[in-house]
Amino acid sequence: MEVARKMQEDGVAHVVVASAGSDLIAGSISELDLLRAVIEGKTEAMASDVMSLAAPATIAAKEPLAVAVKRMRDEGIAFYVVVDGTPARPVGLLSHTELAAYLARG
Amino acid sequence: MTATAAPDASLGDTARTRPVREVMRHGVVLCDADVSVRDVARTMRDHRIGAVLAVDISSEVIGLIDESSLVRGWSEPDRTTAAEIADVDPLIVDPGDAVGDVARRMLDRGLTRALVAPPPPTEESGRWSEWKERGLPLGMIAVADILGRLDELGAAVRGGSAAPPLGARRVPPAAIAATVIATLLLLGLMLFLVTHGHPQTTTPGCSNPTQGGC
Repeated sequence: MEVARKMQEDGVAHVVVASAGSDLIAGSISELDLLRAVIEGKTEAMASDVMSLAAPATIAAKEPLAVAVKRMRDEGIAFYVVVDGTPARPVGLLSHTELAAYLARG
Repeated sequence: MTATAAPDASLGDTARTRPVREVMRHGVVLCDADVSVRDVARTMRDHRIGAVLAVDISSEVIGLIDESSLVRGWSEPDRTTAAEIADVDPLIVDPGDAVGDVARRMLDRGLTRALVAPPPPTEESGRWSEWKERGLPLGMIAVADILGRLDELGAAVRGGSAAPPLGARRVPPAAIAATVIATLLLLGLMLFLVTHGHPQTTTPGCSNPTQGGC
């Protein structure tokens, strides 16, 4: 439940699980994944036990936000791993939280 | 709650039995139904909250707006109104409902937040159509509120005279074995590197490779 604590401290709703010492994405953990683990009493579980194995959606850093938003709505995406460079490397996450903050700035 | 509960199930037991009112955030921030999506976003930022309740001019509740609803007004945030993006069918729970129950209902619907409102006079509850019978909401409960109080919820179960400290929880034998094996492998690798005199290598994009946690 170290992940749960860290997510609370950082105020984030999603984390990406990577293989140690690499950029390879193994899966992702959402708040709901953690909630399910708690309800099932799996409080000693490792990140790899509770994470969703489906590869998170990725989007290029240069892509317009409107495209990101459209894909989110059309495909029901909760968050993206933002990738940049060649070969593509993860550089950040983009979720509803960041988009809401962007709207408030405009 | 019994003292004989298995350690692994204890946290789940607490979560199941604890009433929502002890974990929820009390109070809701309201916004007018006709303000722009941009203004709703600013209200949420200024109050540092993830959701507001849209109400019309006669204080009738229109619906719940969270960060994901804001995205519905993305193309015209200054012209789209709060009423247009509000979720008119949010999850509504009673303050006396067990946190575990609410958590399951959140998981079933894939929602990260529920409104907490007084129970309606009738037995059937939790439906937006019965909103008027419930009266103004008391607050909200989010997944983050439950996860943020895991330590406390867990401690409440282990409470009493013989409560062990958090760090002294039972560790499964398999975990101990795995740790021992990993340590031996690591020592072997270090020995190998030292005896063969390899220069120190670093992993690109990793600030602290020895921790293996990046």
